[in-house]
Amino acid sequence: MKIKIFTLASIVLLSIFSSCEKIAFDKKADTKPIATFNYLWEQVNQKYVYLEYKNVDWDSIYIVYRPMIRNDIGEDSLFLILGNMLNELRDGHVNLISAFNKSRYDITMLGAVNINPRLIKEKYLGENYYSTGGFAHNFIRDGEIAYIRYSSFGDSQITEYELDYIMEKYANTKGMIIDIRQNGGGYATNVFTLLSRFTFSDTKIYETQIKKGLGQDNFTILEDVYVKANDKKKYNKKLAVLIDRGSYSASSFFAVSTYAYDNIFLVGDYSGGGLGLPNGGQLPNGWTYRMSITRTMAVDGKNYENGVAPDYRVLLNPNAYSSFSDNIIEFAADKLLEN
Amino acid sequence: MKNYLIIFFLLLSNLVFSQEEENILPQVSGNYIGINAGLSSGLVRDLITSPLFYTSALAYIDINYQNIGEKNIFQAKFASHNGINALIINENSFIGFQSVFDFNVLWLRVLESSLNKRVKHFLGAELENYTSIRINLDFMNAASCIDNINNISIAYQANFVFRRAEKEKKLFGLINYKRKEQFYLLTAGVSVPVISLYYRPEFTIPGNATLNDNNIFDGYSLKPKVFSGLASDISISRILHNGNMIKFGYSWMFATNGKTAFNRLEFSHHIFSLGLVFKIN
Repeated sequence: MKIKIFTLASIVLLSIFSSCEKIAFDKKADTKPIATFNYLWEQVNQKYVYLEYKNVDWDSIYIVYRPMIRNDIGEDSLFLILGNMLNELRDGHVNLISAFNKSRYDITMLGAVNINPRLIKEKYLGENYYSTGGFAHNFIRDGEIAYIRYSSFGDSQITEYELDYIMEKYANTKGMIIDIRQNGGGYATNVFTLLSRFTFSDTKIYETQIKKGLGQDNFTILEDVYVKANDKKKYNKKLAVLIDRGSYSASSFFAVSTYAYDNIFLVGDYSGGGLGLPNGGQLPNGWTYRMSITRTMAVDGKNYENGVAPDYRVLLNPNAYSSFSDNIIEFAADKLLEN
Repeated sequence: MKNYLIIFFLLLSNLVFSQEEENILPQVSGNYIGINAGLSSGLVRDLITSPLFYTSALAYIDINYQNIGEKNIFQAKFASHNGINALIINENSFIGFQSVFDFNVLWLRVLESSLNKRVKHFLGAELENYTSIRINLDFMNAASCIDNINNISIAYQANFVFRRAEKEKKLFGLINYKRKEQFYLLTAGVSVPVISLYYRPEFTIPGNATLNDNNIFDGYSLKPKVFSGLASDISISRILHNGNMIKFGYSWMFATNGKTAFNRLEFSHHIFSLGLVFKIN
């Protein structure tokens, strides 16, 4: 009898406790379009870092887009409206993702494409160019300049072996060009790995901070970010980095970091920006999104989210292919060979 | 007079019976090491990344040490849950991974015992460190989230040792067999975290792709929470003749950093486990 009472009491107690879970967890989630819209709007309002910097009045955005939403709206229409609303942020790191579509703000459309890949292949890389990891490279200007085309920071993690090979191969050149035009970014760890081959002492490359609460200026303290010097093979001559509007995210991190180096200069158009780290999340209806939640300050204290400025602004000659000359590469090579 | 005699003999027989029970019931005391494995299922919702509840299906294993004395129980336990968190919504499925590492130390002091010490009630305290690592690639740069929670709890536990007598039985009403005498330990407990310290991303998950490692934990903060959850467990262990035990347990816990927390974290585990408890001395 005692056993039964004891067991019964235990089961009753456990049932009571289990029901506490139901009380504590408010499991009813409103997944309807209006709730989804409100949730997304609120997330941006609270977490997006550049509302003030980009002069976006997010309250007025609500007034414009909210009347477009009804609970009986179709999925496609809802996606279109939410995607358009996010594009008001003018940020390539902001996306809405569903099983059937992905919204995007195409930053590359803000400027002309500043590179002709066919010309690069035919004239500067040539038929027998080397392909080392994500780098395509060869000598130009009679072996005086190393030309390295790096089209994505996201293809793979750069290995020390790859860089050792490149540093060794071009050790006797007078200058090096790293071409990251139309490089849309990828692993930012590659930024540190690559820069370390041009770094002879620990170098502060930028400052960063994370949105930490409500309010437009509620950030963690600015934290210095360094590239650490190492004992690997290095390149100690001048370096030109070619950028354009398509140089985004990790490419912009690379570009803005060069401000910290005296022997590196930027040539081309403004970069695309993307110096805010995108943070992902999910909406009540299951779609996912991402948006920038950090901001970066260059060593000069400025925010280059709208584009890292080149040291020498040079736009591609529209007749580059017919004249068989990339005037940006030629400009950079001339600069490297000066003095 | 006859009635007095009957009452007297009844009391005497009860005393004799009790004495016999006390003598034949095994003593559950000494040092024990237990290993339990099973299934842990529950819910998890982390409003930093999603307003939706994910259902977890995790493999569970724990290893524990217990010292059971006349007056005190001391237990140290390390448990790990590993598996997936899944959600199906609007015909789309989302799957993430979760690993939990749970270390706790429990000390209990006997409050009272009854039925010739067959039933004992304990009250004490528990210290727990709970780490949850969740990875959901759908959240891109916020794919990886780490939470660490330290709990200081008050705990109550009741232990009841009982015996199932030898009995003639029939399997499916056909085959006769004899069920041998068996001894069991029934345990039920509950613990209430009085103070919990949540170390978790304060507002957003910084991510891990475009900053160097130093920055990953920026934006984390330590926040205290009073009475943030509840845990209970019930187990029945068959006591073998050599003092070892075979244990079947069910435990349940839930925790939340509070409805007013900016980015609420809510999770629960229902754990069914089967294990062996070895008496080491």
